[in-house]
Amino acid sequence: MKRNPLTFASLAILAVLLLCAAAAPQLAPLDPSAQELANRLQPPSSAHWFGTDELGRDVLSRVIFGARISVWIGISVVAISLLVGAAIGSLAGFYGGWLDRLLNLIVINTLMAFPGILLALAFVAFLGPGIGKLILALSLGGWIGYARLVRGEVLKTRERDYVQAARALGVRAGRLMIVHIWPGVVAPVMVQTAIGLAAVILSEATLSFLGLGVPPPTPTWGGMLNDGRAHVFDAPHLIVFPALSVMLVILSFNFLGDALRDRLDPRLRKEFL
Amino acid sequence: MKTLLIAAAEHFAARFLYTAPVVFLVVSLVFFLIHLVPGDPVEQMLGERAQAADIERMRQELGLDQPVLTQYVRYLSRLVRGDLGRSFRFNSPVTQIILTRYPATILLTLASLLVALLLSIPAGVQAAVHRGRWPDGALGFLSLLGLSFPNFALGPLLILVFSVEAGWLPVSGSGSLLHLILPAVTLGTALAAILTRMVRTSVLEELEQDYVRTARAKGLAEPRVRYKHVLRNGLIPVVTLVGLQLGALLSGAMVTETIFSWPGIGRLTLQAINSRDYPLVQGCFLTIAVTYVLVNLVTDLLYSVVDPRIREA
Repeated sequence: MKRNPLTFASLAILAVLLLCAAAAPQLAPLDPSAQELANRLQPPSSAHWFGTDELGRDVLSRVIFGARISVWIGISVVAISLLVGAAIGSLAGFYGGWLDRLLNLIVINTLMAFPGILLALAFVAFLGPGIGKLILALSLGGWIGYARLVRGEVLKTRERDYVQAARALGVRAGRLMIVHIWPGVVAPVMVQTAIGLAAVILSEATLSFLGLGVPPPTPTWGGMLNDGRAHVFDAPHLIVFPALSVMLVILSFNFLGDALRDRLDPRLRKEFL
Repeated sequence: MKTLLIAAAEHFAARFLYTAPVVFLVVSLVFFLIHLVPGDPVEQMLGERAQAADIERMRQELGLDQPVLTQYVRYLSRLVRGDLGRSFRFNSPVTQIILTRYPATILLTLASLLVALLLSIPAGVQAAVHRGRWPDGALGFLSLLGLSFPNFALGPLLILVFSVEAGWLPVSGSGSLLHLILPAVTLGTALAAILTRMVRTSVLEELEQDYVRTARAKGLAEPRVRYKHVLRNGLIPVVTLVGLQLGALLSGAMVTETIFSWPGIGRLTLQAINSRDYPLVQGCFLTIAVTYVLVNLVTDLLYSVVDPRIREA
């Protein structure tokens, strides 16, 4: 594998992200909820490396704790989406027929009629705020990509000679799926997972920005950006640091997804970074 | 020719028949969303201090005292007449409110699309022509940056640079072309990044074709070869991608309209959610979802007109 410095940089950024998520209380210099109204809207300084917000809270500490929320929600949503999507996609691809038509044409295409985060927005709008409800809302649309991917791969793989041979030898459907078909699905699913994590973190940040994500006072990057908009004239640092955090994480996941794709499936290699 | 027309008509009819049940299911899903609300949606609308008599009156007005199936049938029959109910907050028909806001979202979406095309086509062509050299790498990095920079982060940064620091453009609002620039750039950047990659890939494939070698051998100037011959064929797959991405533009418009206080249906949806105006929320979700389905249908039909292999498939 050709060494790509961007891939290593991405891995480093993601390692920092995971570190923040795992050890936020140890890494954060201050309590993210601690208010110092006398020091509100301070620019970056030696006391507060990222400055303070409108309530005098340390922005660096809030960015670190925001990383924890993003990672926790990202991993939860991807895990649920992957489990549900892989199960549904496997059934649809393996058995085909009316089940495939029902799932693929009707269920998936109906849910995909709600573009972007609209489906998650609809559920959050009606179910109300909360981390658990947010995870559920994001998972409702998240499983579709995995289902379509797994369905496509299972459809391709089930016609292979070795699968047909195993079927002719009387191997049961479950064993056929787990031992013979799923190993071929792992590589594209890993690529999709990396990209999917970026998408979930982005969706969570977007919903928080719109005031429909994790409710305050829990710090989230999207929420910080939304709060910072009111101070774009007098405290632009409130926008810059959360914006850079989101951008670096999304960029890193995209690079990682590209690197995984190049490594695991050279047919899909793209020379364009 | 007649066979071609019949094949096209059959393809169009098949797509319409396929789309109709999806639209019906979308309409039904939007109806049942309101029944997901835990507890009484009317109590949620009117708040904790509402009187029991007011709650009961509102429930009757909205038809929520009827059995779910009756409500569903009534909802479908009103929908066929274009009646999306009455907004609790604005005390006006939802259809009327949406129709006053919808054109602003269409304008923003089209402006964003224009920005994306103006950025991506020359960038993609240059990246393809200079494949493997630094312009290709630089444009590739920029496109990945554009993909990774969310619009809710980009918008405030653009405001900071062009409105606050430079003072060239207004911070928010609508009413002039200047008000449209920052929202269109914010919304169009991610699409520009996606399209640049597609244009590059597509142009690279076309540059390998025999007709390009022929054109060069005939002595045609290189810009003419690239933009008159190569790009015409290279843009065919881009058409499909634009259609598919219009849905992402519609959902992204919600955030962009909020940042810039643009009076479109996206901002209206959020205002309706925050004020728990459920008839208006339903109407907005329905409008956006059905628009997306119809845009996909039109894209698919346009693509089959442009590329006959799709009709014959």
